[in-house]
Amino acid sequence: MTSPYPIDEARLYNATRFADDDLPEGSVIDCAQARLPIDEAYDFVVIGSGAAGAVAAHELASAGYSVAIAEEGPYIRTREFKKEVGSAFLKLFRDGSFQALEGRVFMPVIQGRCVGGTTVVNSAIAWRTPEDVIDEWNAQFGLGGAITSRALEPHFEALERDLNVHAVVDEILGGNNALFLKQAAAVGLHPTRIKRYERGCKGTTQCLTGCPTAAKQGMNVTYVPWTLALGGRLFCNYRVERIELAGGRAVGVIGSAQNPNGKGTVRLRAKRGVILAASTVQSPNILRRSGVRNKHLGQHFQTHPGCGMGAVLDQDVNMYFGATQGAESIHLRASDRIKFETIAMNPELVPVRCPGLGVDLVRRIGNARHLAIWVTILRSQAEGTVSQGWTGRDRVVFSPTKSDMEHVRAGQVYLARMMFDAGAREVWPGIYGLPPVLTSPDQVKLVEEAPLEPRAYTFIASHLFGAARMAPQASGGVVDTTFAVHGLPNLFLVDSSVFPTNLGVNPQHSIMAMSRLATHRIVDSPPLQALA
Amino acid sequence: MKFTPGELRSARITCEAIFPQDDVAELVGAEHLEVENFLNDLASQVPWRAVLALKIAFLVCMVSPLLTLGRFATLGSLTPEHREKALYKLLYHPNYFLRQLVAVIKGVAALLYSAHPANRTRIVDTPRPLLQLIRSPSRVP
Ligand SMILES: Cc1cc2nc3c(=O)[nH]c(=O)nc-3n(C[C@H](O)[C@H](O)[C@H](O)COP(=O)(O)OP(=O)(O)OC[C@H]3O[C@@H](n4cnc5c(N)ncnc54)[C@H](O)[C@@H]3O)c2cc1C
Ligand code: SF4
Repeated sequence: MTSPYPIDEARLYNATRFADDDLPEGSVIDCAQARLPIDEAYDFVVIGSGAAGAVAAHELASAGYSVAIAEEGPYIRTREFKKEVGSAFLKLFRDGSFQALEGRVFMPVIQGRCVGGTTVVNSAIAWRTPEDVIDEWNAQFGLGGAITSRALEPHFEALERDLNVHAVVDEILGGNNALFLKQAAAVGLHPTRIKRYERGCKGTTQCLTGCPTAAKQGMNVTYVPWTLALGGRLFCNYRVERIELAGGRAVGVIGSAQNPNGKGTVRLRAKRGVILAASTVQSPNILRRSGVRNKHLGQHFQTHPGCGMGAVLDQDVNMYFGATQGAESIHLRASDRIKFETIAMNPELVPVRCPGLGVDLVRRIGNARHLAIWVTILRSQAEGTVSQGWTGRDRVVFSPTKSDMEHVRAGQVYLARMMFDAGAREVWPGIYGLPPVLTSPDQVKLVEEAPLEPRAYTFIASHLFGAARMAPQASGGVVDTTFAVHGLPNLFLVDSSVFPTNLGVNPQHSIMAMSRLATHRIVDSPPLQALA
Repeated sequence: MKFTPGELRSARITCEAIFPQDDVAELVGAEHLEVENFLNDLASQVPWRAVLALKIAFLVCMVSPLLTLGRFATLGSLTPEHREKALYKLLYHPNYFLRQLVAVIKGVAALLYSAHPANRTRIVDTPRPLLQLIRSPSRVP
């Protein structure tokens, strides 16, 4: 969608050069514009330029291999990011952000579809994989110690160095985050400032629409351009339909240019291997379309449903200044499977959170500077499925369990209490069956007794896991502990679809570390040397 | 998939009821926004399933007086206050799908509403004392 409003030219920082301004000549092939067909050969073809794909591509290029990155979406440069959510949804997000999980409850599932993947639109929160999760993977899924905190440690360290991970500093803390830190501390939730991938964040709270200053260290301004600087090539606006298999190995990928007439084939041959990193929703279906069969393919999908709560306070909270997400608590992660986070909601999304409509809605929007918005993130126990719908679209079916709902409700009770403790005039629980607006702390008991029906709540899914999980044998999962698809020694799956479970913390760091670990194993693997 | 002129008229009536002009809030109402252009533009870029959902949503909103107030009338034939009341009841309707349809329209129209430069400036950049809300019976479920 073209923005209905004029562009704020002042945001096109003329003086600064961004990492995506100066890419090596010829390194980006925009398949929507290129002469087709294309047929080229590389050592490795990486499908997807998000958290998993960009890191893998960079490691392979650093090891001296020729690498092609295949990305379905466009390369939107830093200078082109606009603060309007509508245009960002259409340019940067899959299905214009109209993608939703099917199941008992309508749950939007948001994914980036652009160079850099979901890291372009995320909040850059960095969390190492919790030890208890890794222990669970090894104990319950028979990984035999293949994935350990020790093995991941050097990868986390390298990523933290590269992407400048650090806690939110005072200058960009902002009112919403500061208030959460105070209130959560008061109820014993041991809140902390969020650690993020960031260099010189200005606190614009625009992480969702693409960082206008390239402070956020998304893949679009880090590992993708760094890979291109090492000689890699990027094919954007190129949707991979399937991986070509011959003689028990992956020999390349084939797909179509995403141009207006939908015509034109692009084929990238892989001399050594194919790395699949198209995300939990897309990777299983690419494998399916390529002829991979395994009873676990598309099964065991998990997510972290998020459920927000709003409060209106007397003071000017001004959530529009500060780190988009700057404060959190994982105090109840292990015991209650929930995590709390703050979020600055873009003005376009505020009406969605505001109760009601008409004059009351409009006045509440007018009070947006007085709003605090905090979220419960659930480490759900429910499992769903990923399949391909009859029109070829990706179909994800998922419904939270009763125990999931109990945990979410417990989280919302905490938030409501903390908001009233902060002096909230109104708390918006967003739970059907309760008054849309709570005005007294006594009403927190209504949240305690709220229905456990998922349809009473408004969820959003942005952390996605499973659907092609790792297991030493093909009878237990889709990929082995070297990240190779069972039976296909040079087809590697390195995104969070291989995770045996969800995490209870934000996934990007784990995804990147696992991808980096995988790539190191790939480079060192004897089968690969033999195939070369 | 495109919107018909009738659907665009329904869209305008619905959006104006959700986001009316309000001088107290000093926000530009949907009556001053380019709802039709916005929706046509959107329809050309999102999956057809999303457009279909919006078409159904506008249709349901138009017949909401029957579903919520028990009146054989279209939304457009009601006074602004009754339009608001009918849609409000639909937004908090016991049927999950009905309330989701209004929520979807609210969400989509908000993309246009809050992105208007005057509204954005007012929402994001203008500190002001807290506005008092009206709590008329018609707005309480
Ligand atoms: C709003 C939001 C905020 C978030 N905030 C955080 C956060 O703060 N911290 C955190 O840890 N996590 C966060 N996440 C989640 C995190 O961003 C994702 O888990 C992570 O980016 C997933 O990495 P990935 O590589 O698996 O997929 P992606 O990053 O989504 O990348 C996959 C890429 O593959 C491409 N692709 C898919 N199919 C094809 C195909 N057929 N052909 C070619 N290319 C294809 C896609 O277009 C996409 O670019 C957030 C998510 C959202 C939606
Ligand atoms: S909050 Fe910081 S990292 Fe996020 S978009 Fe603004 S400047 Fe970039």
